[in-house]
Amino acid sequence: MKRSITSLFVTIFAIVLPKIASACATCSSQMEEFDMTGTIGVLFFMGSLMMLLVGWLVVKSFQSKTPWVSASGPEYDGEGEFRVPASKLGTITLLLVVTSIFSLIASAYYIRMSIGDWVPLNEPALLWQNTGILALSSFAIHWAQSASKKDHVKQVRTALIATGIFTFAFILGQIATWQLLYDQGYYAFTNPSYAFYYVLTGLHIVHLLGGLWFWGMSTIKALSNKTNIDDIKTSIECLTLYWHFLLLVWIGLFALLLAT
Amino acid sequence: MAHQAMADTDVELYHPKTWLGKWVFSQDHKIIGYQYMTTAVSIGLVALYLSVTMRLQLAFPGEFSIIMPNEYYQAVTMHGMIMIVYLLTAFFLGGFGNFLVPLMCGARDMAFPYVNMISYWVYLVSVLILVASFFVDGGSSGAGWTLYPPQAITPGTPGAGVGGGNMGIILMLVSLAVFIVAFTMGGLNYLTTALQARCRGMSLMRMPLSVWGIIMATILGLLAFPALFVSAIMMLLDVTLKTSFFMPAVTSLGETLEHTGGSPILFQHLFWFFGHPEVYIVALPAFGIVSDLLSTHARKNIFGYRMMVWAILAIGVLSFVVWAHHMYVSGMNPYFGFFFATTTLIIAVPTAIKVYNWVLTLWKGNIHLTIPMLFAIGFIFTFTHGGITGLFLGNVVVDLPLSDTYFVVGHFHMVMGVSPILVIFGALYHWYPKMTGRMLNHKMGMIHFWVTFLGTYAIYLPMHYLGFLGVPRRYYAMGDASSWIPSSAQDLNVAITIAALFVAAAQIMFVYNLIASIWRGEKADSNPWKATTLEWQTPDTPPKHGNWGPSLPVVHRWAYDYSVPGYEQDYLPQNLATEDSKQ
Repeated sequence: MKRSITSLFVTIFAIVLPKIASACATCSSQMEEFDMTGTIGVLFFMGSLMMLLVGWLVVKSFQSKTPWVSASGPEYDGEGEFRVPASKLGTITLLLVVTSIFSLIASAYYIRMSIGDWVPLNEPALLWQNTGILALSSFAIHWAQSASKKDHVKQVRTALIATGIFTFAFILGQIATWQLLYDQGYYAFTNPSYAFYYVLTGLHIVHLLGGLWFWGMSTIKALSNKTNIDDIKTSIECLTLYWHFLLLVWIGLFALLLAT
Repeated sequence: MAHQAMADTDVELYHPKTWLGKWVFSQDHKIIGYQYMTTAVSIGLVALYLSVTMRLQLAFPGEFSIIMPNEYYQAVTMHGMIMIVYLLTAFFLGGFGNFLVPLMCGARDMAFPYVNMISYWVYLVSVLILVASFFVDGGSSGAGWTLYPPQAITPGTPGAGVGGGNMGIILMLVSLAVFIVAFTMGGLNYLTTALQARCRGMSLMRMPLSVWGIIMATILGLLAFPALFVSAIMMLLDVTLKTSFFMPAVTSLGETLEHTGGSPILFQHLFWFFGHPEVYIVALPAFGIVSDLLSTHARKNIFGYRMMVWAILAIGVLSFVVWAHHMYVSGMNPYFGFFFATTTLIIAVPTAIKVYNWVLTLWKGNIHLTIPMLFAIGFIFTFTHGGITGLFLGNVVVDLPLSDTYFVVGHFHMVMGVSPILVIFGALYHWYPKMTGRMLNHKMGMIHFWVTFLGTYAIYLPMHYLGFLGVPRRYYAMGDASSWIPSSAQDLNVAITIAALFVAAAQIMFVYNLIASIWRGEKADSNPWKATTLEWQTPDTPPKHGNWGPSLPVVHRWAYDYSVPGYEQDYLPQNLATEDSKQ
């Protein structure tokens, strides 16, 4: 019995899986319609995200002793499980969603690019300056975070306001690139590369605006003298995470635009 | 009454000061859950009405002036979209997710109550936008619920409007995008609450399977809905700014449209990358809830708890690598089809594990044929039947001839229409006493179950046969083109419609039962089913804001201690300590 099960598994792993793998490889090379390499890369990335989440849950399911043998008092493996605050966990989950949005649209970009009528985008040089400004905003909010850890209220205020200014400047800069392209006669319907440019930058701006909403709430709290600095430490931490992440997303998008 | 909001933190629970803050703009997860449920049922009744008009047309073609060809396609579209997204997803995750997750985990409320409240109101806005699309020029979109371009945004499609304003499809896409924003806000809550706000002793492996199902469905939703979001936005731009993401060069009504080079297949990939996980977003909470119902009403622990958890996780992962099996007829590389057929059939393994475990839970159990139990057992039947026809359709060669026939209609209604809805019914009968403090009317419940369950078979089994005959789906009427279909098919259509009318009437009666029992129902005690899970152990029924009174519960055992040998009572609540239970 045991041997037959073992041989079944050996068959699956030794024969069936390589077959499927080789079929996948052929399938990607033989797809005449699309160039699937970019898409498969994106899917692989999404898959690893999923595996990470689920793998963690599976590992947890082993750590607990047989759940049905119990009643020996409250074992609390909740303790030490998440020492991060709930809002930080929520932010991380949100970042997963954002990752999903941008990787899917990148995969759509790759697929659409492989269809005949694609004319590569003529990137406005202004994008380099904008990238620098966004990086500055990321530095500024990082400064706010480290200042809040040291309880320097005044520095936190300055840093937060600097973050806001740089971020607004970045958004205005991005809109200026739209105006530049528009003036040169590159409309959204001119070519899908321009349509994708407007969508990608637009979505990124929307995410920044969402971040600015929460930035506004924290900044108002930070500016008021009644607020205890400890109350906004976690929110500043979440904001920092979010800002760094959006900088990362932007660098990824910019690289995608430059490379194609 | 300042209680800590969560175990391990010292944040105080928010208390509303006004009537409006308590009942309308409430941050209480239970109220938000009820709001979600009410809205979902209301829009669901619209979808029910649409399905009745479609059935009347199919049985008696041309007899009713309320439904003309255009309206028929609009009804197909709106029925599908409402049922899948605005009813099932919203009811399971928005409704039960909100109501059950904090109660079952022993939390006072969701992790972010304010975001949770916003989530409901944004959902309501998305429903209102959807409803508004019925009333614009040309009416709602008639492109089919999959909204495939180029059909969906080409002039002449039902709902495009006289001037080709395309308001129907625009409102549909906007509504979907808004819904996804609402879902994301809710989803962050369900996941964070289940991971973060569990009470002392509630380890992950002591959570009831309902919570497992809901959080896994949430993870799927958070990762899959962005695909729909992205495709909705890109299609919106195709409609409004005349971009060519999805639109190829099309000549419509003798005119060449402004689009060139777009790929409709790209839309299908994005849509089904969301669409297939969506099936499991609906199914996984149903799996979890039905496990709890079966265990409670059979007075027996769930068979293979750990295997059930792993099966939920495995189904969740696999559901992301099968999407192209919805696209076999779009034409694809044979190796591509081979890959997706294989992954599709592999999903049968964890699913079959779950079905076996449900049946083995019933085996030698002390089965109480209460109404929730009847619905749960009914679910095993309909789900198995729908699942088995899914194995047919998962194969490329079988799918190609069957894809555009009623076989597919029978299949997906059985597996992801009726089955989750039976679980919703069962769950409502089960948790209604906790929500309102009163029981639902038993006699009406019996009628409701038997009419619905037998009606399901009277409606959907013949559809499989119609599919084998080659009756095409999505047709307003057969016409001359389908002369190969025997005339007896029409008699069958009449029979199906009569059954459908009875089932629809039973649902109206159920809604009446839900409303009337709030006042007239028989008073229920706090734990009428003698269940072990935490939501039945609240000090008040219905639970007050904050759920647990002065102190949070402490959990000492898993959720399935039914009929444990050596104890007088046949259930041991999760928060019962060993010393107390010895007596």
